[in-house]
Amino acid sequence: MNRDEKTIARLIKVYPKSYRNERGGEIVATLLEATSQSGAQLGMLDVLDLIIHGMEVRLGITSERFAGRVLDAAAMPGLIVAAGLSAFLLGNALWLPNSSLPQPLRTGVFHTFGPVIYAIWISGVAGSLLWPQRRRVFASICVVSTLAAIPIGMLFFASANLTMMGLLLGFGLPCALAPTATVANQRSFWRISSGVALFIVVWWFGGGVGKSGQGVTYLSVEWVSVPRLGSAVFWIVGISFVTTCLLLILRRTTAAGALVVLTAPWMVVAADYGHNENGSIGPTSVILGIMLVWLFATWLFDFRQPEKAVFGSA
Amino acid sequence: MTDEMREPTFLALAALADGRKHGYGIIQEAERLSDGRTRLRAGTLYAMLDRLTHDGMIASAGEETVDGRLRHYYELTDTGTSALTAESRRRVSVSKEALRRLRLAGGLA
Repeated sequence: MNRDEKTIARLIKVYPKSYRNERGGEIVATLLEATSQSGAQLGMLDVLDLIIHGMEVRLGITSERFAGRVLDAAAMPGLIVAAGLSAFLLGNALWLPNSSLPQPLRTGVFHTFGPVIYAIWISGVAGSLLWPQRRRVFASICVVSTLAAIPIGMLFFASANLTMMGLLLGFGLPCALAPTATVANQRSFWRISSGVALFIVVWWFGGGVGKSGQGVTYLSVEWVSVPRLGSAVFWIVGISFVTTCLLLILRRTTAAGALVVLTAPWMVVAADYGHNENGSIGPTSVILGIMLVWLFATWLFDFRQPEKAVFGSA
Repeated sequence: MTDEMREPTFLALAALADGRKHGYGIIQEAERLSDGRTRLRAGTLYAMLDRLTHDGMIASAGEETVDGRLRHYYELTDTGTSALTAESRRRVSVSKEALRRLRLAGGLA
């Protein structure tokens, strides 16, 4: 057994046993044929490509599975919401380490490189809309850059705005994890408009609801403060819950799952600002919990289904 | 709105247009059809084959062992043939229109 054969034999173990039994011999043969015919060794990108596919199969996030379809549906709307939030934060200069700002806005050195992070998110969604086939790469760059901000912030003895970063990560991860679609349909009207609609919901309720005497006032600098986010979450999750129920009644299970995935990031806010002045975080967590339990149960049910629909026909 | 087929998917389906092929055969043919611009990697290929099988565009077309290695063959289904035909026509139509405009603009001899 030469070096490539040993590497391939080890690599193939990244796939679950059922898949290996079905496809393992074929994949090994293809890889061996490719390396022997080209005379080249197995490259790093080949290895990475195989590991990614193996993990997708293992986690049940291939495009044939419920989780894969849900992530695919949530991918572009999530990126659009993340880009909208980034544009707002960037446009309102919520990134300067200004000690004169009230406490909730004084979020440390993260804001000194915050513009870079926000710009990456905006560029990421623009790139994904222009080149949908590369959406996973763009989303991964956004996610990794945002994660890198945490240790960099720590180097300067300052904590990053973890809530905002959590929201951005939550909205970007579905796209980073989603399987690539058969068709480049990520620019479809529904995907883009649902992302824009979701952001409008956030914008509207994030700025207005709960602000006594002034009615709905739209997103403002105050939006990122503790009570504003806390009170917004209840309405955002509530609307998502009602819409999810309607989608389930209409048997739009994938769309309902995608909406739950895009609502889940708000759990970060609910957990972080649990002492909401309106006391509405409790019900919010319960509603979000119900939605997540449904999503998990549906994923689990689908994950345990045999793969015969994919591999069976001869 | 008509969905645009991704290039690797188009190449994989096109590779099967003249008959059944196995995994490495599809990789070779896709590379040849794209003048070397697209090289499908194994993980991407099998993710695509799973998806296309699930969507009913391709089907399993038997197995055989060559030089001690298992070859699993795939072929286009009627659905796959229709999708490939529609996508090919769409691409030809766009190309023809682009060439027509270039001629009108004097940019093409």
